[in-house]
Amino acid sequence: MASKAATVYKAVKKMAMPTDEEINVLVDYKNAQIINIQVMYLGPIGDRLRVLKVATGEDIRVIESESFASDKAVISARPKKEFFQTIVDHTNAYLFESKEPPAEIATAIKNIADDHLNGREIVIRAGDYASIQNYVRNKGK
Amino acid sequence: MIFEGFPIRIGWELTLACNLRCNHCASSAGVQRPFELTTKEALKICDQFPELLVQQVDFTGGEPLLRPDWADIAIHLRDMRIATGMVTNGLLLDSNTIDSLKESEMHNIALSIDGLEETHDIIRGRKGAFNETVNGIKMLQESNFSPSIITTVNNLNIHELPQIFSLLKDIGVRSWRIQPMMPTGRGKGSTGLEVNACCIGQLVQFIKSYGFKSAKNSVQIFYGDGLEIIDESYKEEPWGGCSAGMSTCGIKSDGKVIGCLAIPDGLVEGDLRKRDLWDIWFDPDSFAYNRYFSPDKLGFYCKSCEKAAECHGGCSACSYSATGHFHDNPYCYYRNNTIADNQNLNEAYPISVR
Repeated sequence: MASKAATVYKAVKKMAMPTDEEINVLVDYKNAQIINIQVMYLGPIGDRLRVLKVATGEDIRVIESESFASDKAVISARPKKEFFQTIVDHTNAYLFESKEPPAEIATAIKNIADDHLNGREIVIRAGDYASIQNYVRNKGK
Repeated sequence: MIFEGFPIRIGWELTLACNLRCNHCASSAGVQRPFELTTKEALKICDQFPELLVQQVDFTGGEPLLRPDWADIAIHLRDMRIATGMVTNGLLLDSNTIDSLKESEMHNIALSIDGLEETHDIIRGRKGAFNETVNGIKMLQESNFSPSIITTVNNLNIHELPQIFSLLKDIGVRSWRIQPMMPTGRGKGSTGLEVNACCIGQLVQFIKSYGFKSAKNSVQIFYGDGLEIIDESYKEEPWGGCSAGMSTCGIKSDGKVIGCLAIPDGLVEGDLRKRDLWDIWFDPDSFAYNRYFSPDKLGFYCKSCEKAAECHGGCSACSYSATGHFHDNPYCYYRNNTIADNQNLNEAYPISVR
């Protein structure tokens, strides 16, 4: 039986591997369930990291520094090709082949698939990022 | 559930070798550690940073410029778009070094000034060290760097803070970090440098007088090691306590990983020669003192404090160095700040190693 996602969104294009120019992934600290980014202990003193409250008013903090990514709410990452390949393969398999992702990354893949289906920029939550990286790392061992 | 923080900023002790023997040095720096990382090992460690979302690496020591390959490491990080900073005593700065700093696009260079000339030279154990450091600051400024200054406050230099402020203003320094001396390393046994409750009280008063008023076009003062809690700008966004193992960690020159480089060597979390940083960072047993904090872990000095839920007992390194426990910080600025009569601080809150 086809998954609900595949049935409803069958017109959606398959996810493709990002090009070199698009190879940044955004880790959304706003939506991370656990986040504890604080003023740094050993940081250079010229650009102290400021701790901000997010717009939602939740008691979650994000980091801001001129030296960091231009989008203050996110941190830019540069994962290896295997990371993206895992996302693309399992997201496409979930959406178009009704294949349930491996348990370790099921939540992450479903969150990504949801973004993709709804035409949103794919924003990977911190926990999802760690789960996928763990999966890739363990697969390689 | 997997821990969801990342080591956004890493302090890296490139070498423990140092050309000075400062009386307050928390690392007791001087001679390099046995089996410090080779260049190949160091570069391999760098390669692990992007996946861990590392955004900035700060080189410390010892004296990081004593490590011949510091620029190779910095350039490697630059090529991975990871910002770098350096804490140096400035004595080895020359035109070649400054060229390398430029090439590596060093984001921030911090030098230490620990008093006026006489006091600085006493603490640093070298006559002329003050002038050499000031000269280094000027060289950097002439090369379009804007170096920051760090002052480690102790009983010997606490009275000189206003004059240091003026000095920094005169020589065009824009940012100044003030941090209290920790009772660890060489600082633990340095007679005359001890930070007692009165010293903390005076430091609080200085910050109140100078820190909050430091205009953006003058010397901007930043605080470290728990001093954040009395900074007025933190009222709306309270300091959330020690970031060791939450969003920062330290790497020692032999590849050992620790929450922060000021935490005693015995509390390492892993060895990068044996495990990847990813595995050490996400090990459920790593950095337990901060990741599994709960109010029942607050110690004698902090357990009844109204701020403890926010600051988790302050600076871990201060707390552990002084008491042998985390979340039990006798060097608390908030507590001292709330005691009206500074004359009786030592009686009210004696600081001793229990």
